[in-house]
Amino acid sequence: MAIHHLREYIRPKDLGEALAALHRLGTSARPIGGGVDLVRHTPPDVSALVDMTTLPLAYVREEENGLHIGATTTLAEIERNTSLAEYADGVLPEMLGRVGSMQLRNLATLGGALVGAHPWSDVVTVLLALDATAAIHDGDDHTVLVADRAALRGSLSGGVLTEVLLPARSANVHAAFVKFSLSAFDVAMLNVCACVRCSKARCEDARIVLGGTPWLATALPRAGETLQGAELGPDSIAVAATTAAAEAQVGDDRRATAEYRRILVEVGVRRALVAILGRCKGGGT
Amino acid sequence: MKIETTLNGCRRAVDIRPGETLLEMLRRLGMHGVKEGCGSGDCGACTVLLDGSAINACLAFAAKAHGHTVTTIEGLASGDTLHPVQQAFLDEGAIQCGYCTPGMVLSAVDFLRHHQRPTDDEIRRAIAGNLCRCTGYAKQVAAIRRASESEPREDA
Repeated sequence: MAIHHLREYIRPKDLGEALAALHRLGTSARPIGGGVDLVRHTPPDVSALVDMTTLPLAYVREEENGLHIGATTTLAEIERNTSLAEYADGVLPEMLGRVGSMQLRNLATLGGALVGAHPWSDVVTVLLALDATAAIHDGDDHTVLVADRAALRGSLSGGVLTEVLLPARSANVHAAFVKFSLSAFDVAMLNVCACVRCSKARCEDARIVLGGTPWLATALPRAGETLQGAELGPDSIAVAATTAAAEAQVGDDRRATAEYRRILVEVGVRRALVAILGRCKGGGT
Repeated sequence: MKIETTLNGCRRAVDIRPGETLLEMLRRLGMHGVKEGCGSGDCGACTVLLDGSAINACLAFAAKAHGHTVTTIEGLASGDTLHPVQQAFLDEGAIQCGYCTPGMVLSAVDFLRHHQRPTDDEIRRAIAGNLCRCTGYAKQVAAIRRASESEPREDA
Protein backbone atom coordinates (compact mmCIF):
# COMPACT_ATOMS: atom_id res chain seq x y z
CA MET A 1 0.00 0.00 0.00
CA ALA A 2 1.20 3.48 -0.84
CA ILE A 3 2.51 5.61 2.00
CA HIS A 4 0.34 8.67 1.51
CA HIS A 5 2.11 10.96 3.97
CA LEU A 6 5.44 10.72 2.13
CA ARG A 7 6.07 14.00 0.34
CA GLU A 8 9.65 13.70 -0.85
CA TYR A 9 11.87 10.96 -2.24
CA ILE A 10 15.43 12.20 -2.54
CA ARG A 11 18.10 10.58 -4.72
CA PRO A 12 21.35 12.14 -3.59
CA LYS A 13 24.31 12.36 -5.97
CA ASP A 14 26.93 12.04 -3.25
CA LEU A 15 27.33 11.54 0.48
CA GLY A 16 27.45 15.28 1.11
CA GLU A 17 24.11 15.78 -0.58
CA ALA A 18 22.58 12.90 1.37
CA LEU A 19 23.83 14.28 4.64
CA ALA A 20 22.70 17.81 3.81
CA ALA A 21 19.19 16.56 3.03
CA LEU A 22 19.03 14.59 6.28
CA HIS A 23 20.25 17.56 8.30
CA ARG A 24 17.89 19.97 6.54
CA LEU A 25 14.83 17.76 7.09
CA GLY A 26 15.75 16.51 10.56
CA THR A 27 13.57 13.81 12.06
CA SER A 28 11.08 14.02 9.19
CA ALA A 29 13.60 12.31 6.88
CA ARG A 30 15.02 8.80 6.94
CA PRO A 31 17.82 7.26 4.88
CA ILE A 32 16.81 4.03 3.17
CA GLY A 33 18.64 1.13 1.60
CA GLY A 34 16.18 -1.33 0.09
CA GLY A 35 13.38 0.43 1.94
CA VAL A 36 11.64 -2.85 2.79
CA ASP A 37 10.86 -1.80 6.36
CA LEU A 38 9.67 1.72 5.62
CA VAL A 39 7.54 0.70 2.64
CA ARG A 40 5.40 -1.23 5.11
CA HIS A 41 5.64 0.95 8.21
CA THR A 42 6.68 4.52 7.63
CA PRO A 43 6.13 6.42 10.89
CA PRO A 44 3.58 9.23 10.50
CA ASP A 45 6.17 11.91 11.32
CA VAL A 46 8.43 10.79 8.44
CA SER A 47 7.62 12.66 5.22
CA ALA A 48 10.86 12.27 3.24
CA LEU A 49 13.17 9.42 2.27
CA VAL A 50 16.79 9.67 1.20
CA ASP A 51 17.70 6.74 -1.04
CA MET A 52 21.26 5.72 -0.19
CA THR A 53 21.36 3.12 -2.98
CA THR A 54 22.05 5.92 -5.48
CA LEU A 55 25.52 6.21 -3.91
CA PRO A 56 28.44 3.86 -4.72
CA LEU A 57 28.15 1.99 -1.44
CA ALA A 58 27.43 -1.51 -2.77
CA TYR A 59 30.68 -3.47 -2.61
CA VAL A 60 32.67 -6.14 -0.79
CA ARG A 61 36.39 -5.41 -0.69
CA GLU A 62 39.09 -7.39 1.05
CA GLU A 63 41.91 -5.21 2.34
CA GLU A 64 44.75 -5.69 4.82
CA ASN A 65 42.67 -4.56 7.76
CA GLY A 66 39.71 -6.76 6.91
CA LEU A 67 36.63 -7.10 4.78
CA HIS A 68 34.79 -3.93 3.89
CA ILE A 69 31.11 -4.33 3.03
CA GLY A 70 29.34 -1.26 1.67
CA ALA A 71 26.17 -0.21 3.46
CA THR A 72 23.93 -0.63 0.42
CA THR A 73 25.25 -4.07 -0.52
CA THR A 74 22.20 -6.29 -0.72
CA LEU A 75 21.90 -9.38 1.42
CA ALA A 76 21.81 -11.45 -1.81
CA GLU A 77 25.11 -9.94 -2.98
CA ILE A 78 26.68 -10.83 0.35
CA GLU A 79 25.20 -14.33 0.17
CA ARG A 80 26.85 -14.90 -3.23
CA ASN A 81 30.18 -13.21 -2.52
CA THR A 82 33.11 -15.60 -2.80
CA SER A 83 35.32 -13.81 -0.22
CA LEU A 84 32.55 -13.97 2.36
CA ALA A 85 31.93 -17.63 1.55
CA GLU A 86 35.43 -18.30 2.91
CA TYR A 87 35.31 -15.85 5.81
CA ALA A 88 34.77 -17.41 9.26
CA ASP A 89 33.50 -20.64 7.73
CA GLY A 90 31.08 -18.70 5.55
CA VAL A 91 28.86 -17.86 8.50
CA LEU A 92 27.41 -14.75 6.83
CA PRO A 93 26.08 -16.59 3.74
CA GLU A 94 25.06 -19.48 6.01
CA MET A 95 22.94 -17.08 8.05
CA LEU A 96 21.57 -15.15 5.07
CA GLY A 97 20.25 -18.35 3.52
CA ARG A 98 17.85 -18.38 6.47
CA VAL A 99 16.72 -14.76 6.13
CA GLY A 100 13.39 -14.33 4.33
CA SER A 101 13.06 -15.06 0.64
CA MET A 102 15.37 -14.58 -2.33
CA GLN A 103 13.20 -11.61 -3.37
CA LEU A 104 13.62 -9.96 0.02
CA ARG A 105 17.38 -10.54 0.05
CA ASN A 106 17.64 -8.98 -3.41
CA LEU A 107 16.21 -5.75 -2.00
CA ALA A 108 17.26 -5.57 1.65
CA THR A 109 20.69 -4.12 2.38
CA LEU A 110 23.27 -4.75 5.06
CA GLY A 111 23.00 -1.15 6.19
CA GLY A 112 19.24 -1.37 6.44
CA ALA A 113 19.50 -4.51 8.55
CA LEU A 114 22.03 -2.93 10.88
CA VAL A 115 20.34 0.46 11.23
CA GLY A 116 16.87 -1.12 11.46
CA ALA A 117 18.21 -3.24 14.34
CA HIS A 118 15.18 -5.45 14.74
CA PRO A 119 15.27 -7.57 17.89
CA TRP A 120 14.93 -10.71 15.82
CA SER A 121 17.63 -9.71 13.34
CA ASP A 122 19.88 -12.58 12.32
CA VAL A 123 22.27 -10.11 10.66
CA VAL A 124 22.94 -8.13 13.84
CA THR A 125 23.60 -11.33 15.81
CA VAL A 126 26.26 -12.47 13.35
CA LEU A 127 27.88 -9.03 13.00
CA LEU A 128 28.22 -8.85 16.80
CA ALA A 129 29.78 -12.30 16.94
CA LEU A 130 32.24 -11.35 14.20
CA ASP A 131 33.23 -8.19 16.10
CA ALA A 132 32.17 -5.92 13.24
CA THR A 133 32.78 -2.20 13.10
CA ALA A 134 30.47 0.36 11.51
CA ALA A 135 31.86 3.27 9.47
CA ILE A 136 29.85 6.48 9.79
CA HIS A 137 30.06 9.65 7.73
CA ASP A 138 28.83 12.81 9.43
CA GLY A 139 30.98 15.24 7.50
CA ASP A 140 34.01 13.40 8.83
CA ASP A 141 34.55 9.65 8.70
CA HIS A 142 34.79 7.65 11.89
CA THR A 143 34.15 4.15 13.15
CA VAL A 144 32.26 2.61 16.02
CA LEU A 145 31.96 -0.98 17.19
CA VAL A 146 28.63 -2.55 16.29
CA ALA A 147 28.61 -3.97 19.81
CA ASP A 148 28.64 -0.44 21.27
CA ARG A 149 24.96 0.10 20.65
CA ALA A 150 24.68 3.46 22.39
CA ALA A 151 27.63 4.91 20.50
CA LEU A 152 26.33 3.52 17.22
CA ARG A 153 22.88 4.99 17.82
CA GLY A 154 24.44 8.33 18.71
CA SER A 155 26.62 8.36 15.61
CA LEU A 156 23.72 7.47 13.35
CA SER A 157 21.63 10.32 14.70
CA GLY A 158 23.97 12.79 13.04
CA GLY A 159 25.49 10.74 10.27
CA VAL A 160 24.97 7.92 7.82
CA LEU A 161 26.33 4.40 7.77
CA THR A 162 28.73 3.92 4.87
CA GLU A 163 30.17 0.46 5.46
CA VAL A 164 30.71 -2.43 7.82
CA LEU A 165 34.22 -3.66 8.48
CA LEU A 166 34.93 -7.24 9.52
CA PRO A 167 38.31 -8.04 11.12
CA ALA A 168 40.98 -9.49 8.84
CA ARG A 169 40.42 -13.08 7.88
CA SER A 170 42.12 -15.77 9.95
CA ALA A 171 42.20 -19.51 9.34
CA ASN A 172 41.94 -20.00 13.11
CA VAL A 173 38.62 -18.22 13.43
CA HIS A 174 35.56 -20.43 13.15
CA ALA A 175 31.92 -19.51 13.43
CA ALA A 176 28.50 -21.09 13.22
CA PHE A 177 24.94 -19.80 13.22
CA VAL A 178 21.82 -21.49 14.56
CA LYS A 179 18.27 -20.20 14.15
CA PHE A 180 15.05 -21.35 15.69
CA SER A 181 11.84 -20.16 14.07
CA LEU A 182 8.23 -21.25 13.98
CA SER A 183 8.45 -21.84 10.24
CA ALA A 184 11.28 -21.80 7.72
CA PHE A 185 10.13 -18.35 6.64
CA ASP A 186 9.48 -16.73 9.99
CA VAL A 187 11.83 -14.44 11.91
CA ALA A 188 13.80 -15.99 14.73
CA MET A 189 12.25 -16.83 18.07
CA LEU A 190 15.90 -17.24 19.00
CA ASN A 191 19.15 -17.13 17.08
CA VAL A 192 22.70 -17.94 18.14
CA CYS A 193 26.06 -17.16 16.61
CA ALA A 194 29.29 -18.46 18.09
CA CYS A 195 32.67 -17.29 16.91
CA VAL A 196 35.75 -19.06 18.24
CA ARG A 197 39.45 -18.53 17.70
CA CYS A 198 41.07 -21.88 18.19
CA SER A 199 44.29 -23.68 17.56
CA LYS A 200 44.13 -27.47 17.18
CA ALA A 201 40.74 -27.47 18.91
CA ARG A 202 42.10 -25.46 21.89
CA CYS A 203 40.02 -22.37 22.28
CA GLU A 204 41.86 -19.07 22.59
CA ASP A 205 38.88 -16.76 22.52
CA ALA A 206 35.13 -17.18 22.07
CA ARG A 207 32.19 -14.90 21.49
CA ILE A 208 28.66 -16.19 21.85
CA VAL A 209 25.79 -13.92 20.81
CA LEU A 210 22.04 -14.37 21.11
CA GLY A 211 19.28 -12.57 19.24
CA GLY A 212 15.50 -12.63 19.29
CA THR A 213 15.49 -13.17 23.04
CA PRO A 214 13.05 -11.28 22.20
CA TRP A 215 15.32 -8.27 22.56
CA LEU A 216 18.14 -7.03 20.38
CA ALA A 217 21.18 -9.26 19.99
CA THR A 218 23.57 -9.35 22.90
CA ALA A 219 26.77 -11.19 23.78
CA LEU A 220 27.08 -13.72 26.60
CA PRO A 221 30.53 -12.96 28.03
CA ARG A 222 30.43 -15.52 30.85
CA ALA A 223 29.59 -18.35 28.47
CA GLY A 224 32.40 -17.25 26.17
CA GLU A 225 34.88 -17.11 29.05
CA THR A 226 34.24 -20.74 29.98
CA LEU A 227 35.86 -21.68 26.68
CA GLN A 228 39.01 -19.61 26.97
CA GLY A 229 42.01 -21.92 27.16
CA ALA A 230 39.78 -24.97 27.10
CA GLU A 231 39.95 -27.74 24.60
CA LEU A 232 36.80 -27.58 22.51
CA GLY A 233 35.02 -30.87 23.09
CA PRO A 234 31.81 -32.35 24.51
CA ASP A 235 32.60 -31.36 28.10
CA SER A 236 33.61 -27.74 27.47
CA ILE A 237 30.71 -27.33 25.06
CA ALA A 238 28.26 -28.60 27.70
CA VAL A 239 29.66 -26.14 30.26
CA ALA A 240 29.41 -23.24 27.81
CA ALA A 241 25.86 -24.18 26.84
CA THR A 242 24.59 -24.47 30.41
CA THR A 243 26.38 -21.25 31.38
CA ALA A 244 24.74 -19.53 28.41
CA ALA A 245 21.30 -20.75 29.44
CA ALA A 246 21.85 -19.41 32.95
CA GLU A 247 23.33 -16.12 31.75
CA ALA A 248 20.82 -15.29 28.99
CA GLN A 249 18.18 -12.63 29.53
CA VAL A 250 15.10 -14.06 27.85
CA GLY A 251 11.47 -13.04 27.81
CA ASP A 252 8.01 -13.90 26.53
CA ASP A 253 6.44 -12.79 23.29
CA ARG A 254 3.96 -14.28 20.83
CA ARG A 255 6.61 -16.55 19.33
CA ALA A 256 7.88 -18.26 22.48
CA THR A 257 7.88 -18.17 26.25
CA ALA A 258 10.94 -17.24 28.26
CA GLU A 259 11.02 -20.77 29.63
CA TYR A 260 11.14 -22.27 26.14
CA ARG A 261 13.69 -19.73 24.96
CA ARG A 262 16.01 -20.67 27.82
CA ILE A 263 15.92 -24.28 26.65
CA LEU A 264 16.63 -23.10 23.11
CA VAL A 265 19.65 -21.11 24.30
CA GLU A 266 21.31 -24.25 25.63
CA VAL A 267 20.45 -26.27 22.53
CA GLY A 268 21.46 -23.49 20.14
CA VAL A 269 24.80 -22.77 21.79
CA ARG A 270 25.61 -26.47 21.91
CA ARG A 271 24.74 -26.96 18.24
CA ALA A 272 26.78 -23.94 17.18
CA LEU A 273 29.83 -25.08 19.15
CA VAL A 274 29.54 -28.67 17.92
CA ALA A 275 29.49 -27.31 14.36
CA ILE A 276 32.58 -25.25 15.13
CA LEU A 277 34.33 -28.25 16.65
CA GLY A 278 33.79 -30.12 13.41
CA ARG A 279 35.13 -27.17 11.44
CA CYS A 280 38.20 -26.81 13.68
CA LYS A 281 39.07 -30.45 13.13
CA GLY A 282 38.18 -30.33 9.47
CA GLY A 283 40.30 -27.22 8.94
CA GLY A 284 43.38 -28.84 10.50
CA THR A 285 44.19 -25.73 12.47
CA MET B 1 7.52 13.15 -9.13
CA LYS B 2 8.69 11.76 -12.44
CA ILE B 3 10.91 8.73 -12.94
CA GLU B 4 12.49 7.26 -16.03
CA THR B 5 12.62 3.51 -16.25
CA THR B 6 12.93 0.76 -18.82
CA LEU B 7 9.82 -1.38 -18.50
CA ASN B 8 9.78 -4.61 -20.48
CA GLY B 9 12.32 -3.23 -22.91
CA CYS B 10 10.61 0.15 -23.47
CA ARG B 11 11.91 3.38 -21.97
CA ARG B 12 9.14 5.08 -20.04
CA ALA B 13 8.74 8.34 -18.14
CA VAL B 14 6.24 7.76 -15.37
CA ASP B 15 4.62 10.12 -12.88
CA ILE B 16 4.56 8.56 -9.43
CA ARG B 17 3.79 9.60 -5.87
CA PRO B 18 6.80 9.48 -3.49
CA GLY B 19 5.14 6.84 -1.32
CA GLU B 20 3.80 4.68 -4.15
CA THR B 21 4.96 1.07 -4.34
CA LEU B 22 6.37 -0.49 -7.47
CA LEU B 23 3.46 -2.92 -7.42
CA GLU B 24 0.93 -0.09 -7.54
CA MET B 25 2.81 1.68 -10.31
CA LEU B 26 3.07 -1.43 -12.47
CA ARG B 27 -0.58 -2.36 -12.13
CA ARG B 28 -1.55 1.24 -12.90
CA LEU B 29 0.49 0.89 -16.09
CA GLY B 30 -1.50 -2.19 -17.05
CA MET B 31 0.96 -4.86 -15.95
CA HIS B 32 -1.73 -7.03 -14.42
CA GLY B 33 0.49 -10.10 -14.37
CA VAL B 34 1.98 -8.49 -11.26
CA LYS B 35 -0.43 -9.69 -8.58
CA GLU B 36 -1.08 -8.36 -5.13
CA GLY B 37 -1.42 -11.22 -2.69
CA CYS B 38 -0.28 -10.43 0.82
CA GLY B 39 1.18 -6.96 0.31
CA SER B 40 3.87 -7.75 2.86
CA GLY B 41 6.53 -9.69 0.98
CA ASP B 42 5.43 -13.16 2.01
CA CYS B 43 3.57 -14.65 -0.96
CA GLY B 44 5.72 -13.63 -3.95
CA ALA B 45 2.75 -13.05 -6.28
CA CYS B 46 4.08 -9.55 -7.06
CA THR B 47 7.58 -10.74 -8.01
CA VAL B 48 9.23 -8.76 -10.83
CA LEU B 49 12.80 -8.45 -12.06
CA LEU B 50 14.67 -5.25 -11.21
CA ASP B 51 17.86 -5.24 -13.29
CA GLY B 52 17.40 -9.00 -13.55
CA SER B 53 17.02 -9.64 -9.81
CA ALA B 54 13.72 -10.97 -8.50
CA ILE B 55 12.15 -8.64 -5.94
CA ASN B 56 8.79 -8.23 -4.25
CA ALA B 57 7.20 -5.25 -5.99
CA CYS B 58 5.04 -4.69 -2.92
CA LEU B 59 8.17 -4.09 -0.82
CA ALA B 60 9.83 -1.63 -3.21
CA PHE B 61 9.07 2.03 -3.61
CA ALA B 62 8.23 2.86 -7.24
CA ALA B 63 11.03 5.43 -7.17
CA LYS B 64 13.48 2.52 -6.97
CA ALA B 65 12.80 1.87 -10.66
CA HIS B 66 14.32 5.21 -11.71
CA GLY B 67 17.25 4.54 -14.02
CA HIS B 68 16.74 0.81 -13.83
CA THR B 69 15.21 -1.99 -15.87
CA VAL B 70 11.99 -3.64 -14.76
CA THR B 71 10.77 -6.89 -16.29
CA THR B 72 7.31 -8.25 -15.58
CA ILE B 73 5.83 -11.46 -16.88
CA GLU B 74 4.39 -9.46 -19.79
CA GLY B 75 7.91 -8.70 -21.01
CA LEU B 76 9.56 -12.09 -20.59
CA ALA B 77 8.74 -13.75 -23.92
CA SER B 78 10.48 -12.70 -27.13
CA GLY B 79 7.58 -12.05 -29.48
CA ASP B 80 5.79 -15.36 -29.90
CA THR B 81 8.65 -17.34 -28.41
CA LEU B 82 8.20 -18.09 -24.74
CA HIS B 83 11.09 -17.82 -22.35
CA PRO B 84 12.50 -21.31 -21.60
CA VAL B 85 11.15 -21.10 -18.05
CA GLN B 86 7.66 -20.23 -19.31
CA GLN B 87 7.87 -23.07 -21.82
CA ALA B 88 9.02 -25.50 -19.14
CA PHE B 89 6.07 -24.53 -16.92
CA LEU B 90 3.73 -25.28 -19.83
CA ASP B 91 5.46 -28.53 -20.72
CA GLU B 92 5.34 -29.78 -17.14
CA GLY B 93 1.79 -28.56 -16.51
CA ALA B 94 3.12 -26.55 -13.58
CA ILE B 95 0.10 -24.27 -13.56
CA GLN B 96 -3.25 -24.55 -11.91
CA CYS B 97 -5.17 -21.38 -11.05
CA GLY B 98 -2.22 -19.34 -12.31
CA TYR B 99 -2.22 -16.63 -9.66
CA CYS B 100 1.26 -17.47 -8.38
CA THR B 101 2.65 -18.39 -11.80
CA PRO B 102 4.07 -15.01 -12.95
CA GLY B 103 5.97 -14.57 -9.69
CA MET B 104 7.10 -18.19 -9.63
CA VAL B 105 8.40 -17.96 -13.22
CA LEU B 106 10.28 -14.71 -12.59
CA SER B 107 11.85 -16.06 -9.40
CA ALA B 108 13.00 -19.08 -11.38
CA VAL B 109 14.47 -16.88 -14.11
CA ASP B 110 16.61 -14.99 -11.58
CA PHE B 111 17.55 -18.16 -9.72
CA LEU B 112 18.75 -19.88 -12.90
CA ARG B 113 21.04 -16.93 -13.69
CA HIS B 114 23.12 -17.97 -10.68
CA HIS B 115 22.58 -21.74 -10.67
CA GLN B 116 23.37 -23.65 -13.86
CA ARG B 117 22.36 -27.12 -12.71
CA PRO B 118 20.53 -26.79 -9.41
CA THR B 119 19.45 -29.60 -7.15
CA ASP B 120 15.78 -29.99 -6.27
CA ASP B 121 16.59 -28.77 -2.77
CA GLU B 122 18.15 -25.59 -4.16
CA ILE B 123 15.12 -25.07 -6.39
CA ARG B 124 12.76 -25.47 -3.46
CA ARG B 125 14.76 -22.93 -1.44
CA ALA B 126 14.71 -20.53 -4.37
CA ILE B 127 10.92 -20.56 -4.64
CA ALA B 128 10.36 -20.49 -0.88
CA GLY B 129 9.16 -16.93 -1.33
CA ASN B 130 6.44 -17.90 -3.81
CA LEU B 131 3.37 -19.46 -2.26
CA CYS B 132 1.12 -21.71 -4.33
CA ARG B 133 -2.21 -22.70 -2.77
CA CYS B 134 -3.18 -25.16 -5.54
CA THR B 135 -0.30 -27.54 -6.04
CA GLY B 136 2.27 -29.38 -4.01
CA TYR B 137 5.11 -27.55 -5.80
CA ALA B 138 6.32 -30.80 -7.40
CA LYS B 139 5.48 -29.70 -10.94
CA GLN B 140 7.02 -26.26 -10.48
CA VAL B 141 10.22 -27.88 -9.23
CA ALA B 142 10.19 -30.23 -12.23
CA ALA B 143 9.61 -27.27 -14.57
CA ILE B 144 12.50 -25.29 -13.15
CA ARG B 145 14.74 -28.35 -13.35
CA ARG B 146 13.65 -28.83 -16.96
CA ALA B 147 14.37 -25.17 -17.75
CA SER B 148 17.83 -25.49 -16.21
CA GLU B 149 18.54 -28.33 -18.60
CA SER B 150 17.44 -26.33 -21.66
CA GLU B 151 19.56 -23.89 -23.63
CA PRO B 152 20.96 -21.06 -21.52
CA ARG B 153 19.50 -17.68 -22.33
CA GLU B 154 21.19 -14.40 -21.50
CA ASP B 155 18.56 -11.79 -22.20
CA ALA B 156 16.33 -12.14 -19.17
